[in-house]
Amino acid sequence: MIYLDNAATTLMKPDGVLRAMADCMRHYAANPGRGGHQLSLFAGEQVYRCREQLAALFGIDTPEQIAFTSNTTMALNFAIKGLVSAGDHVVIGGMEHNSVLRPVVHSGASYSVAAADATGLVTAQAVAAALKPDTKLIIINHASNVVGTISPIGQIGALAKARGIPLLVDAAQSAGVVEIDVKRDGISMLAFAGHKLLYGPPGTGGLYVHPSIRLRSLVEGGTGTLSEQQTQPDFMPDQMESGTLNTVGIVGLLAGVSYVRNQTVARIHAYENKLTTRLMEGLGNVPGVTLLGGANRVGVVGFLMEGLDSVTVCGKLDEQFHIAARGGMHCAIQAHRSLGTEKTGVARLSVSSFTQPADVEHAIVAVNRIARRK
Amino acid sequence: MYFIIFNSVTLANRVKSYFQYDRAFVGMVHTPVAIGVNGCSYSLKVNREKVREVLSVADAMGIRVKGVYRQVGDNEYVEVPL
Repeated sequence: MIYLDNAATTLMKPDGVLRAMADCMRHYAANPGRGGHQLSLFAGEQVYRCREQLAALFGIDTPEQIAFTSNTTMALNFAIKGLVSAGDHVVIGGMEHNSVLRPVVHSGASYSVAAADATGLVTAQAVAAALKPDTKLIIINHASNVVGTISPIGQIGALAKARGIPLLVDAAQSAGVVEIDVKRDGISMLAFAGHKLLYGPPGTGGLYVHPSIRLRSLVEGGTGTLSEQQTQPDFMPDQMESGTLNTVGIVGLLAGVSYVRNQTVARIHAYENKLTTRLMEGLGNVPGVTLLGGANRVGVVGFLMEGLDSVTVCGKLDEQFHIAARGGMHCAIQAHRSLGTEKTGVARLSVSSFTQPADVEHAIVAVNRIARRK
Repeated sequence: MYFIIFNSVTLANRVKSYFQYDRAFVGMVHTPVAIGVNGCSYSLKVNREKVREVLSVADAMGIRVKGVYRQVGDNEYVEVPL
């Protein structure tokens, strides 16, 4: 099987991730932050090391402001519902995933969409045009999960800072493959996936919250702290981390983030760029194929094939060529509305740092054959 | 020995990480209930010589210390004024 569905989750993980998780399961998967025995303390130390590595990766000075979640969706829900109420106004980017759109709608807040251009790019100017005097939060998808286009969060962050509005960035597709510095980029809250390009296991993700922002907690319970108090602790990360943490997953994520930091984000991005450039070059020559997205992108290539449904294209890739790809709406109807693909969906191929050039060549040949046989 | 109390295991670990190469540093413990403020918390357990340094590191990190106690017996502690 050739796995080109890395935007959904990366399948191939560094060996260190597998080793770290097995070691944790065998030797110290005790409950961190609960009790004082050596295994609990050691587990707590490993969990903290993961916060530290993530903080170093994202230019965060305060590792305790990172809360672990089970995925980006959970992190976005914590951020949006913790800050926004009915009657507030929110600006969202034109390429948002349902993990932003649905919690915003559920919150009862009104929202405006900062329009994306035909390539999926959301500019600071588009965000400025969507702002209202009472806008409470700006939410921007850093890199599109449909077509890979990277939006300029640094410029949007500067705008948000100038207007005094917090900026929440959905970094599900960018964390680990695009340089992110929360201070430089003016990011108030950063939601990220652990299981995608940070190479942790499924069930890992997180949310960074700037110390100046106070969120309402959504889930209350045991935190291992202030146990005599009937209310949830108001400090991070305990405020957001009720119940037993996914220690084994977090230890895997620690190894994944260490891999990314050792490889460097710049090198991984350059490698993935080489793969996507070749993929686009190859697919661009296939009759009836239209490529989507901008020049500045992560390792995601979205395309349409004339006369064939995007889900059917990916079904043929799977059944006939053993290539894992994803068609349809990618849980991102807002993005498809912006691209004008809400009736067709998009066929998506996505790479990781473990994708080989031969995998890309195989995919180009496969799409070519599907296009010619239809 | 002295117990320097922090709100959570995360905050205690952040301060502890500063001392990772310091052989004189003792370590982290679950705060005894007798001195825990509002229930469970974690403490850095250090020698007298380290107390000021730990407090100063915590302060530089912007981390609030809940209290400092000196252990004088198995279950006896005396609060050290900050």
